Amino acid sequence: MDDSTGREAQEARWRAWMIATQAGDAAAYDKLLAELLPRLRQYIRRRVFDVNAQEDVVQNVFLSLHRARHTYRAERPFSPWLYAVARNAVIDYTRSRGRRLGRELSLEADAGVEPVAAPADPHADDLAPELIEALQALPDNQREAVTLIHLEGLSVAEASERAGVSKSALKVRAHRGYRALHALLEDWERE
Amino acid sequence: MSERGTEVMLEGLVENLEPVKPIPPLRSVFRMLALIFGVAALVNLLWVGRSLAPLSAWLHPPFWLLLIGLVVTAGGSMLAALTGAIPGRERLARMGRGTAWAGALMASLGGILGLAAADPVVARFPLGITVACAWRACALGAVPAAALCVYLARAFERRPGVAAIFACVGAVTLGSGLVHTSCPSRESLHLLLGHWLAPLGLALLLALPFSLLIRRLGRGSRAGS
Repeated sequence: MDDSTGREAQEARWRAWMIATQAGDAAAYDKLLAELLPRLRQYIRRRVFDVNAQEDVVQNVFLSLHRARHTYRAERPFSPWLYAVARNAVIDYTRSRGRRLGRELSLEADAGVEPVAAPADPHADDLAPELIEALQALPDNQREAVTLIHLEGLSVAEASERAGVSKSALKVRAHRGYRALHALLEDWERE
Repeated sequence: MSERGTEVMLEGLVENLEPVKPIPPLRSVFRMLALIFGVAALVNLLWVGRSLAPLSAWLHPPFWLLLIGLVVTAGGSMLAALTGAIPGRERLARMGRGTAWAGALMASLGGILGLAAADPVVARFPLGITVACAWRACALGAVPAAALCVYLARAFERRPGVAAIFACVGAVTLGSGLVHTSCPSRESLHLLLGHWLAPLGLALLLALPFSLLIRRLGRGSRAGS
């Protein structure tokens, strides 16, 4: 079975389980969540670099998925809906983290305390620490595009579906992100 | 939190699963909105009688630009409000927001061009009729805005304040479009203020109670899920 047939079968399976879930079928829901758990963990680990927060975000994604399950419509594909829920949870986490860091940094500045760096992501062993740092420095939309295309290896069509933007917009974001990454890494190398 | 904690949470979600009714498709929501606006147009007819804006106004391009701007703003805002509450429809939501901004620009341009082209006699400012038109636009838009907000509360709205703004701006500007076509006045300052800026301001005020409504109804409808 080639990749695209496998993905289509998976999509059909998830869609059927989701429809059964909406009707209150706990067995179908159990199967759906069991299949989604490793996918969503991987998705979150590629986007949330603070290892202490990753599992919290995974749980938030599942809570959102549970609360929003009535917004899925059977005639629509399942994966874009699922990844939109996950993306929103990551955005919510990034916003709340930004607000929290802002408060903590101002307190630390007042007290003269050195901020503590977040631990590196052990699941991103294949990525150099400099690359992880440079990825974190990118704007959210560029980081997402670079991650989807260059790190997860998705096609432009798949990546644009998952990001919820047009193919051309995704290509522009990925290109800008790649250029920014390149510039950042070069700067650091010079330093 | 540990991975085991996540697995325990998922077991809890499965155990507490209850059947849910999927939200209605966007097509039927737009049909319902069209019906409500049809009724609003009838109410408008009964309110002001069978009057139309004067012929001289229809022959004036800024009048058209303002009207098209109002309709485009309304369509874009309502699309943005509705699709913003449904995961996976972000592309449509972005399109709606862009359309709404383009409409707002057109409406403002129509109002300003009308003002620039007006002779001093026509450019005087009738306060009474301006307040009446703004109020009428707001009243015509209030029911559709409430219907939109009920739908938003039932969907999965993460930012009720922003959603309420788009819903109210959409509904009130469409109401203002109805007012614009039936208002006997063609005075430029009145058209800019009474048909565009004042209804916009009222829509923003209306968004305050409606965002609370979305929050409250949303909490209630999701409590069981």
